[in-house]
Amino acid sequence: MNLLFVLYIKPVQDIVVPIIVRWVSNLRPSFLCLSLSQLIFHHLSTHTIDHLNVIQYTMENLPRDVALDIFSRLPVSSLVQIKCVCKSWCALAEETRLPSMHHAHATSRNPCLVLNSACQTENKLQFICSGDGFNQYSSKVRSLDGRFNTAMSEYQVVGSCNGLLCVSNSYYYDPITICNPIIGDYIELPKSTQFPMQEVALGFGYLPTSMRYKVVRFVFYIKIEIWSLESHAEILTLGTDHTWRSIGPVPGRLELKPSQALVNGALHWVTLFFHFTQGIRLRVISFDLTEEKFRWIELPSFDCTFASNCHLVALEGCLSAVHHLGDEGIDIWVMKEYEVEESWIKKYAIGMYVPASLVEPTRPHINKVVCILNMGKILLHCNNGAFVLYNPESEQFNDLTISGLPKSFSTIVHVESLLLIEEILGINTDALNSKVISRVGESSRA
Amino acid sequence: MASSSSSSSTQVKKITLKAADGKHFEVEEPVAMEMETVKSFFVGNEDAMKDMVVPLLNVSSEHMPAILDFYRNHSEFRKRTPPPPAEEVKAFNEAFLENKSDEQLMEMIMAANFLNTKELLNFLTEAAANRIKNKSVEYVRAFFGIENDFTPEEEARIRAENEWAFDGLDED
Repeated sequence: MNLLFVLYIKPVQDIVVPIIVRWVSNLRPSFLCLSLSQLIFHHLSTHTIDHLNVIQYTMENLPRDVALDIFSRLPVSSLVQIKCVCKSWCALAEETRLPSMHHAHATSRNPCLVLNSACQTENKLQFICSGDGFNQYSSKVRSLDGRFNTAMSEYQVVGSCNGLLCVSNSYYYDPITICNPIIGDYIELPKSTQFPMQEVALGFGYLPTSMRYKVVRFVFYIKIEIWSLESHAEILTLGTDHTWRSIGPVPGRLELKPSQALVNGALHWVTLFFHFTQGIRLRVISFDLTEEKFRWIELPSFDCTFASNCHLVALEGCLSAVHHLGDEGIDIWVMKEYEVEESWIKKYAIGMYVPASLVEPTRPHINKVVCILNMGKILLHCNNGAFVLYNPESEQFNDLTISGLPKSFSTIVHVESLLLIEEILGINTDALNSKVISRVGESSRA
Repeated sequence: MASSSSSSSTQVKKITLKAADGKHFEVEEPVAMEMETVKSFFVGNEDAMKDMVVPLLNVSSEHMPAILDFYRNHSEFRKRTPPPPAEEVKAFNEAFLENKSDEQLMEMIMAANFLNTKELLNFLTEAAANRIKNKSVEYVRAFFGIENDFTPEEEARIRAENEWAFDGLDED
């Protein structure tokens, strides 16, 4: 209380009141804020405060929480650069709360894109930050070299969940690595069971209910003694004992690619099957990560007999099937209600579009529907590597101008994160073999 | 949500807010109550409602109309059924920021922080982040009016450690 009387002395008031009010407004116990501010206000409201200048705002007197809040909304690349601005910002950018604050914002923003390009005998991982400008993406591709170093020279990306990327060797499907490519943190999974003449489909996903992450491995091989095609499925839950558990055979053949869509805690692959009356048809095989069971989902009745003419994607949380119609573009079918086959609807019919950068005489072709962005626009990846935004309302296309794109690459939708793997998994990976190449904000996070 | 406030549509109570430079603003009660700082002033002090003038020390009268405009529109957006199309909210938000200088934006952030109002603060900090993302260090220093207190050697070392991030900036 005595302190408050200081405020009654006019010359002191000019300096003290703004300081106290700012100090108080930064404190969260609102009762303190309330009583103090009430007293100050009560006094001041009966006096003129015209002479009280509004404080000159510079970043130096921006409250720490507000500065952190602004930082946490930046893409990682900007956040790293912020360290060069001044000493106090450098310290602030290494604040321990920042990675989780940043992660929360990053998951609600448009995702960043990880590009995996194979040139000659080497893979390269690059990424494109999301922005909010006209382009929605930054205008240049950034390299992940030096941060994502793996012993594997040729690898495939199995999937991305919540800032984690699962990567495996493209030929032996082993080793399999879980990494946060943005900060270069990674763990290698234990060796999986190998079979002679094997073909493998991998999947990586998580259970939204328990936040458990699982890697699945479906192996098809020929048992030479009896010349029959056998299968073997195994699963590994990250953060537990890290061993592969066998879950028996796979009830059917599936496309030997990584799972294309994680919806409702299940992974999905397109697969061919023979129907007695309809002949060869496509359908979806799903693997529920909670129950660890396979299920079949019928596709809508579009006329498609090549698995390569159909791919799956998760759009706004719904399982969606993209049907490629050659020169006529693509149809996107969306399963409104999960596992309810009657709920498939043809939601978008996207005509063929020729990106400005397409060099003649290449025929235009939409390779992949990447994702739906926050404002409802659909991001398409075309055959020459161009990214195109499609607005379903106006049915207009926009070429994204991004320089430094590789010639041929696959696109993975990813959430950029500063969190360590163990922080994302919610476990301690010290016991596992966590290898960190370099970390952003190492000094404060060590 | 705010069903109780809509029922009193016959006569909406007004609260007087006083900006730092002494100017008074008459504000409808539900709008004023969006600001935690104003609200906390009245909690457990219902009598104060009548003719109390609430001084807002950190908010200059220059920004008050815009801040009140934000609250009025956003509380209307929230009440509306069906919810307004995303484009409409976006258009309002963009217009809100359109002629605001960097300095004005920072002042409004401080005001929103002082008023302890999440919605406006989130909106403004997002706007500030958008203005500096993918920009050069020099641009960011100018934006916030910060002096570089690193020696050239120190700065070069930090840049070298994070070299990848400096590639591919947008034009300032």
